[in-house]
This record gives sequence, structure tokens and C-alpha cells, in this order.
Amino acid sequence: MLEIVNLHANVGGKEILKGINLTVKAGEVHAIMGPNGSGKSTLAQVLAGHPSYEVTEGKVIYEAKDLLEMDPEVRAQEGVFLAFQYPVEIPGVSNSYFLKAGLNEIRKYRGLEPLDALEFLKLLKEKMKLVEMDASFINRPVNEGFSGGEKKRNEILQMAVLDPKLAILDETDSGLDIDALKIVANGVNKLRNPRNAVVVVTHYQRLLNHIVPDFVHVLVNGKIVKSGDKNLALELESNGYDSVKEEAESLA
Amino acid sequence: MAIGKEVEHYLAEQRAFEGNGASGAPSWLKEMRSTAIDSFSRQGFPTIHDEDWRFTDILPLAKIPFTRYGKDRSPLNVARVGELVYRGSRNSVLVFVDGRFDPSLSDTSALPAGVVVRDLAAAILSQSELVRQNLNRNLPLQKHPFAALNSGFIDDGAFVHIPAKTHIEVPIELLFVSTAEVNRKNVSHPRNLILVDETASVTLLESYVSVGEGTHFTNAVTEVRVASEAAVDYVKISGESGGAYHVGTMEVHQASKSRFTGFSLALGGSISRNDFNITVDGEQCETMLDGLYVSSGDQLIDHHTFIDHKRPECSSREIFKGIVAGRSRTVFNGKILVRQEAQKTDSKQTNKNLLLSEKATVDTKPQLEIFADDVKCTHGATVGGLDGTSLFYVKSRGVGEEAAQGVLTAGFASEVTGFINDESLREHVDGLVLRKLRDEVIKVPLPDIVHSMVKPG
Repeated sequence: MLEIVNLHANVGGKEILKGINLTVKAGEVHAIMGPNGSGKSTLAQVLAGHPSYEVTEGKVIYEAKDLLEMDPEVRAQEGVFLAFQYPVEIPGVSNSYFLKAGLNEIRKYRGLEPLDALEFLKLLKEKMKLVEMDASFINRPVNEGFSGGEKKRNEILQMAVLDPKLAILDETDSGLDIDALKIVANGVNKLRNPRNAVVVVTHYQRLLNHIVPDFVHVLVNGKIVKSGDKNLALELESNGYDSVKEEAESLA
Repeated sequence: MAIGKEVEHYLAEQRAFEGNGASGAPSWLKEMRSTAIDSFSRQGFPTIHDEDWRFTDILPLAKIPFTRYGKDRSPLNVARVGELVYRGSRNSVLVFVDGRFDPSLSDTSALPAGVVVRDLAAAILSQSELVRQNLNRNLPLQKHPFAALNSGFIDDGAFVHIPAKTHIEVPIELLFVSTAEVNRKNVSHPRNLILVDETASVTLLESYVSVGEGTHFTNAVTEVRVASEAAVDYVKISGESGGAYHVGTMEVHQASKSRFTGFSLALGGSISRNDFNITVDGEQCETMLDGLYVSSGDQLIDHHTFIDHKRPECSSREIFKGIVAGRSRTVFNGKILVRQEAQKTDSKQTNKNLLLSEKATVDTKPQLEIFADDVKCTHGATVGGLDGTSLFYVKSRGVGEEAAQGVLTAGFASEVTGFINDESLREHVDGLVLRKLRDEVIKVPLPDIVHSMVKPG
């Protein structure tokens, strides 16, 4: 579904991604772990099309199409979803309007009829149960006054409504207590199916106890230095990132 | 100094006005008008060389010899006017057509006895003393040429008197409709006097709309006196058509422990100048003055505010936001004077402008004069486009560029309209904002504005 080949990207003139190679197939969960500053969030945002990042080399093929050529809204319409590390507040605009607008654009792109207000509300209420959010969130302005945990759950709610093919979770666990973490992880797990894929970007191993990855990749200094299965994550937890860094340097 | 022909035209108009039918006025009023028109003739129309008009060239307005509305007008579509009345004020509204009170379109049945809401022309006769003492009481005409011009023609407008300890729940609307027929160039000088006595409270809505697209000039003056411990919520809507020139001057005087919450919504007119001057003349007062202007095409929308802190322990907050598109220009000049006696003043002023096009221009100028030393005064201004990360967030959910701009722009307006206390009046204002955004600024479907359940402190 997703093939990243030799991806280089910079922000503000500084190169952050220095040649990323990664392949993700439908039905898989990939975890990207790494120390701070390694480029994990950069990778997530470049895939979603954040305008601040400049791709200088490499390509990304998504469902046999050139992802980097697409505007952010087209990527979303094609089924790419980014759960933001810092979800944005949109004062004055209700959660329900925001989601309905996005969903209907995506449906239009896919040749489906838009949902009317009633149909959408029904869908929304159903999806809210997945992330244990109560009805009051329907009419609140997007993320305004939400706690950290509520913002992250709202990201997963959006994911549930928009039904993406490729979901990228950018440090979705940061700032969450264990209860909020479980709710978020549960939501993600319930959304998994053989046709979609998830890329989980995380600094800590604990989220991966709940969203169990098929593959774990370690990102250090803009490059994937090691890949393995879920046990690699446990190894990182006991030995820290330094051991992997040393290993990578010795092999270079 | 030679009197320019623009000024001479209005002097002649005023003489004709005084000569015909306005002669039923009491002598104090004739004297007041005479002094005022003299003051106008000495000042003339301001130019961009005058500090207060530096960013706003009023020459296009000054050049046109506007005349007062005559009796020869097409009859007004009554149903149409009915639609223009704010639905929350259907039974508490005074309607003026081309500056003339129209009793058939007005209805004050929702108001309790003892509350006086009537046309100024009638109040001048029935409450002569009260009107005489309060007109131009706090308004230095020698510094305000348009108020001086208005005062030369004092004749009709609204008179509102809320007696002590009376709390009016239903908002009172003062609706000024201009027929604005094409091929006429008419002017009206509405004059409003609002007196709110001790511990009373009221919400007022002053709306200006046009029915036609013709060129016309509305030169309005509103004076508000807020007595001790009284509370006034005031919304002014300047929503006339593209052919309008609007100059509005509001003078507010606050006595101790009173609260004044003002809101200016400026959407209409070719040139619109909105002055709000608030004299905080008592201790422990609260003053909120907020506003939203949305300009497009070639409009010029100017707000000049002045808060004069004369007494200690008062607080004032001003938040004005602008959405500026097309080739339009907006001006915000916020002056705050904290006099030496006004210790422990807490004053905050913010002006945020959203520029939606390359040719739009914003002039923003805070003017703080602080003479007391134990005060907290902050001010800030921003001018910029939509935030890139916020736009990206909306687009990352599948929404295209224009619709994303629309969503964020509607959200931008919500912060400030959220300050209108009356929820249904707030919705009315939101509706007008969204309509303008959709019709003239970002021509895509827009969300209804929702306000936070939890208001920020």
C-alpha cells in the first residue's frame, strides 16, 4: 500500500529525513520509534503533506500513485489520515460540522452520495462510543477547551468517522495517562481490518502493549537503523536507544 | 478662512430647515442647533491632514451635496421593513425611515409602564427639560465636525429613558432604514438619547440598513448616560448597502459602579466611520467595547474608539477583530487615556486583523496616554493571514482550500461575537456576519458559528 524510497526532507533549511525506506502492506501495523529529534514526527507530517516541510529527494508511492504530488486534501480523500501530535483548536466551528464537511468531501471523491444531517449524526454517535466520548462533544468547537486526553480521543474519533486506508498516529500516546491510553488504543484496534494499515509513531513502548505492531522500525538521525518485530520494542525499553545507535554506527 | 462650497451647502440646508416647519421647536433647541452649525462651519469637513482622519479620506462624501429627505418618496414596502426588524425586538422596536419616526412600523407593547421609549421629536416637547439637560452634555462639538453637523439638524431619532431599578429583559431595537433610491442623494441626521438611571439594566440594538442601492449619507449621533450601578448592553450594527456613507458617533458617560458592554458590527457602506467615546467618570466601573468589521470590494471601514479613565479602580477591555478582503481598507484607532487620579485602572486593548487578500489594507493604531502610576495597561495588535498549521489541519480531513478558509474565517469571528451577552442577539449578529462572508468574501458554504460552552476568563 505504501512504499517510501530514499525520502529526504528538510524544514527551515535543515535536513531532518536523510533517506527513509519503508514498505507498508494492507492489514499491517508498523511502529516507528526513536529518540527525540530523530525525525519521527517529520516523517508523519511529510506523509500527510504539511506545507512547512520540503521534500528534497526520494519518492512515496501510495496505492500505485505518487503521494508527494497530491495536495493535503487529496491525500485525505485518497484515504490517508494523520492523527496529529498537537491537535489544532478551531474556535467557533463545531466538531460535527467539521467532520461532516470532511467526510462528505471524501465521499464525493469516492463517488458516494453525501450524508445528510440525520444520517451523519447517527454515524457520529455510533463512532463516539468507540472512543467513549459523550454527546456533548458533538456541538463543542473543535478541540477548544479539550483536555489533552480528549484531544487525542477526538483524533481517533475523526479517524473512525473518515475510515482511512492508511492511518498515521503521530505520538498519539504523548501526554496521556494509562486510562486515556487504553481508550485510544482500543479505538484504534477496533478500526483495524485487512484492507487498512496503521503506522504508529511513538517514543515509548507502552502504547505498543495495547496496539501490537507487526513491525517495529527504529529511527535515529533521520534514518531507519534497525527493523524487527514487536520484541524489538521491548528490547529498546530495557536497553534504551543508545544501544541501537551504537550498533548502527558500528555497521556503517 | 473662506468657507468651502461643501460647507456652504449644509449651512444653506440648515437655514432652510430652521425656516420650514422646524420652527415649532423650543427656543433652547434652536439656539443649540445654531451654535452647532456655527461650529461645523468653523471646522468644515476633516481632511487627511487632521490627525483623527489621517487614514480616512472623507472627500468623496464631502463633495456630494446631500439633501434632506423630502416628502416625495415611493411608499415603503411594509413587509420588507418587517423582515428587517430583529425578531427578538418585534414588540420593543422604534423604526425610523430616512430619519423620520414611523409609528405604524414601531411597536413598544412589550415594555412595562414607566419606561419611556419614543421618538426624540415627541420627547423634545413632552420631556423638554430632561432632553435639554442631556443633549450635547458630554460632547465637545468643536472637536467633532460630524457631530456638530448632526447637532445643527437635531430633530428626530430615539429617546429612551429607563427609570431607576428597572430591569428590561427584552432587547430594545432602534432600527434606521434608508430607502436609498437610486438617483437621489439624501442625508439623514438621526439623533439618539439614551438615559439609564441608577441600578437599572437594559439591552439596546441600534441598526442601520438600506433598502435601495442608491448613494446616501447617514450621520448619526447617539448619547448614552449610564447612572450608578446601572448596566447597559449595546450592540450597534452598521449594515447599509454599498452606496452608503455612514458616520456614527456614540458618546457614553458612565457613573460609578456601572457596566457598559458595547459591540460594534460593521459590515456595510462604501465609507463607514464609527466613533465610540466612553467617559468612565466614576469608581469601580466596568467597560467592555468589542467589535467585528468585515470588509470587501472597495469598502473603507474605520473605527475610532476613545476610553477616558477619569476615576480609580475601573477596568476596560477592548477586543476588535477585522476580516479584510478584496481591495478594502480598514482602520482601527484605539485611544485610551488614564488620568492621574485613575489609579488601579486595569485596561486591555487588542486588535486582530485577518487579511484575506493581497490588496487588502489594515491600519491599526493604539494610542495610550497614561498619567497614573499604579495601573495595568496592555495593548496588542496583529495583522496576518490564516494560520498555515490550522489550514493544514482542516485540509488533512479532506476539505478543499476555499472551504478550509471559510471554516477558519468563521471561527475567527466567533471569539468576538461571543462577547455579546444576549444569546439570541449573538446568533442574529453571527447570521449577519456569515451572510456577508458567504455573499462577498469566501463564496462557499460556511458552518454555523458555535460558541464555547466554557467561556474563557
